[in-house]
Amino acid sequence: MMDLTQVPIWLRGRLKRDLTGAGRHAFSFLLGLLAALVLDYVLYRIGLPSKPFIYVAF
Amino acid sequence: MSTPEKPTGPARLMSPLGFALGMAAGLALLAWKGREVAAHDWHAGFTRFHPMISPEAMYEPTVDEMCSIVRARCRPDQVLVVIGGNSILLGVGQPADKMWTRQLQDNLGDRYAVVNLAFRGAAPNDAGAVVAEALRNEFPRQIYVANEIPFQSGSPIGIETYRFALLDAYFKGRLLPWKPRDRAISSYLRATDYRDFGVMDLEVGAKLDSWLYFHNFWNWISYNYHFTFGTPLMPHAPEAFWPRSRFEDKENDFDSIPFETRFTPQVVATDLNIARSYTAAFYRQNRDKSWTREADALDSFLRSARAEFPDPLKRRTLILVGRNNPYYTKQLEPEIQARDELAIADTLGALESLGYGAVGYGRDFSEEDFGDRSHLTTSGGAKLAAIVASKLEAMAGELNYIKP
Repeated sequence: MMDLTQVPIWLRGRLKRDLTGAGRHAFSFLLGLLAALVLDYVLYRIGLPSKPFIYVAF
Repeated sequence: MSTPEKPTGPARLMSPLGFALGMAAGLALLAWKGREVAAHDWHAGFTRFHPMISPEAMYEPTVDEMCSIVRARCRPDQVLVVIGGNSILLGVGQPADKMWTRQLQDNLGDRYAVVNLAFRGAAPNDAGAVVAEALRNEFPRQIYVANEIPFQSGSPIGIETYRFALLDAYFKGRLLPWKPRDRAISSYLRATDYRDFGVMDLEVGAKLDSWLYFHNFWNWISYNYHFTFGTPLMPHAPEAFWPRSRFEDKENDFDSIPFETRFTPQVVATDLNIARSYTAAFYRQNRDKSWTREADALDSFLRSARAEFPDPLKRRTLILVGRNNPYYTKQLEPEIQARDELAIADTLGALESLGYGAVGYGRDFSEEDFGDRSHLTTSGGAKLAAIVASKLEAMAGELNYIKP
């Protein structure tokens, strides 16, 4: 972990914001990958005669 | 200048752009993997589509997957023989090591490669035919074999159970233009009641799959690693979730099932009725007990048989027309037996007039050659293999596939 005490005070806030933002983007990207996997599977199951759980909603 | 508001709630954790990029990247990655895996054959030791790798157990092989099965078994210098059709050609009642297509391969020798892509209850132009057509340029020296009963041919788009393969190839642009089929597909899709999810899914699924290749990917997972849900054929854990590669081709052997078990009084009564009416709809009897074909029987058959396969493929398509088990036919009156023979001769003649190769089988078969009314035992399979091999060699000569 970066030691923020070594960073000038005027830069600390910005760096913290940037690091938080990068983490947020990375987390969202991973969540997007997971959503793609789920969507891919649902599309596969919808094409089969045995329907996935999502059909219960209809 | 106003400072942007800090996101609150879930938005603090989520970046819509990151999520969208992740989803796009994920779908692209899965599509690439789906294409990549199906370029290689994952069915080591493939014999035929036994129930656990068939739609009966919710496993629908893709056209790419079936093409890879063929590629792994046919060298470019061999004549490709694709077997389609129904359970009779699948070899129901014949164990894998004695099934008729093994005997056909032995009869034909190394110059030919026989691949059995038949499915239970399939029409002549279902999945196997679709694969053969998709491979027409890659394996130009090919013969496709299927079976029909007298005066009956199917729709240009086959039957519902195996339409997934047709639409898979259609939306991926792997079929020849063929007006009767293209019209039938359009009308099938136009007639879709969008509340009928079964049909809508086929269309939307096949269209999306031509971009995303998810069927290839999940079939690959299902076959090699983990099946993902219980099916009526295999409902309970842990077997339901085993990879489908763990299930072997364990077809019953008619020869090991006693005659009395296969031919119970109930089965015999039902099958005798079917045998009696096998060709009844197509002829009327004259006073002298001879038969006259019904006026529209031939025209109607010619119309549907003409539409069944694209014209350029007819010459390399062999249609087999079978007889019933003599256990039943011997119980029929001589004039009904004569009517069946007439119908088979007329059907073969009609198919040949359209350009198909056609051959009948079953005339010299004994009761031991049949496991029931129509399916063959190992000995019947050997007789069928001999008839088909001889016809295939003749066709390969006529098509200039093989120099005499």
